[in-house]
Amino acid sequence: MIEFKHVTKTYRSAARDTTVTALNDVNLTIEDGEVVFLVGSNGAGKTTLMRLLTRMEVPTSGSLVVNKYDLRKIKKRKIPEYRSQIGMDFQDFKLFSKYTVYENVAFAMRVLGKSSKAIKTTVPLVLSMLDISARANHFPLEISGGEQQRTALARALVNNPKILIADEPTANLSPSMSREVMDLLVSLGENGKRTVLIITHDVELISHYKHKRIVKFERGKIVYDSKYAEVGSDA
Amino acid sequence: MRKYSFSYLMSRSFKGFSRNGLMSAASVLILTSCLLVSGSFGLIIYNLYVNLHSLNELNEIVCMCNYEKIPDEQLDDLYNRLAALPNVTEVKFTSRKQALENMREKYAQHPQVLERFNEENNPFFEIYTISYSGTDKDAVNLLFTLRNKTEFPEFRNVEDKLETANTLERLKNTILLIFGSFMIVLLFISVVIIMNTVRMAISSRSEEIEIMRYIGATGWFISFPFMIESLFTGLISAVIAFVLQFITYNYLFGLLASGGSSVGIITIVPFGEIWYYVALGFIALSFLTCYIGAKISLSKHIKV
Repeated sequence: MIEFKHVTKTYRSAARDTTVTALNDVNLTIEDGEVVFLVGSNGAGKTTLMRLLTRMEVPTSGSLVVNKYDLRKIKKRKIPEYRSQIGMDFQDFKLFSKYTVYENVAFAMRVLGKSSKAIKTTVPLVLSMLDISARANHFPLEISGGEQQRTALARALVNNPKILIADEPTANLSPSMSREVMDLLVSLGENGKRTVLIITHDVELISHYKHKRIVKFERGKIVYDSKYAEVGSDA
Repeated sequence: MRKYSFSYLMSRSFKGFSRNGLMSAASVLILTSCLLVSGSFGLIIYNLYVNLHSLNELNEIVCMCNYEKIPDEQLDDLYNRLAALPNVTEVKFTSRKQALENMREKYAQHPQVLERFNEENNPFFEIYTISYSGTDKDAVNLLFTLRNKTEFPEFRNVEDKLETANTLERLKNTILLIFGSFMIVLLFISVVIIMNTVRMAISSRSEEIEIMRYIGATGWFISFPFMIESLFTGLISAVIAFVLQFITYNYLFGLLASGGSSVGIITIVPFGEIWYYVALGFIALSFLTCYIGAKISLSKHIKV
């Protein structure tokens, strides 16, 4: 379970000698196995929320507990263990251009110290699940945007994370490819075993998922938290 | 408990080293130069120390007796009087006969030089070599006593090396101070250069590091390749510096010694006798420099 309680995050701007509030008194609870869209325009606080969830940043005030890890009090040596339970899918994919698709996915397992045997067994399975086995020996620049996104997803999923965070997963894709990737992401949370958080500003695309939860941010605050079917075009 | 494959970690380190080829080469070059200069200073200081050991020989006064034959009883009496003088630690007597023998040994390859001399026709004279301890003032007092013709009329000449000893002592202190300070400055520069190289390597791989952090990499896993890269830089630098040191030492000191192992009263230690000290010194110095530089940089620039 993810639980934000009165979370505020401010940044000090040394150049302007001012304080910027990225998140302002946010209260949000996400149950295990939920699929949630986090929407909002640029500067609404979505990326800050993602960085807080991955413990790249610490809340300025309030409490943030994820799967029993209190992210304000977590010990430094426990952070890698916590992060290994989260799969991150980035907007720009962040694939290593000198690694093949297979190596990019295997890298995530190597980072966690998984054995070569486990890597040889798991990576082909994940590649097959995401339908990119045929591209296993290709380099990222040799494959399409959609395939790059699938590779990034495979890397995020290969360690079987409890939470999957996709940051603007369709930003660099064509509309048809966007729908395909979004369907895939939503399906990854369908069995209820994995929490999937999808950060996006593409409201039109999420209109296809009427029964999914949408949390909308504006200027660091949650302006509504409901299902698309209930808010409709207001999303 | 995570179990990392050692070969995988090492291959990542060496890949990183070759990927940053130009930067790695620059650090190797700079570290090699620092090691070479430090090594040269070290060797000069070492040679100086070896020579300073023989400086004890400079605390000697050589008293040459008159040409006239001195009876044995009088020589014994002279020996006892010398040994009883204050600050005298040892008295060594060399007879005329022994002095001639010594010369024959020294010029064994040219026996014709001394063949006309024998016991009756011996150009040498008795010598007392006196070793002493104490201050310069004690040495001057001793010299004054020995040169007093009333007290020691048997001596025709008394020679000392006091001035040479003092000059060498001053030289030693000055060289140690200059070289010591220079070595410290060079090591400091090396640490800063390594810090900077590691910082640049980190910055060139910042995206890779960020991804590793997101995936859940430990600080150790992220830092390890940088540390190995740095130590590898140190190892390569040490090997190159050792080879260059070997060549320059043999060449320069070979020139000084003109193929021998000593120049006048200065003794030059052959490289073959000290190569392992040089090798160990270079490895230790380069590893220490690289470790400290990398450690500071990693703790400053890598966050978990």
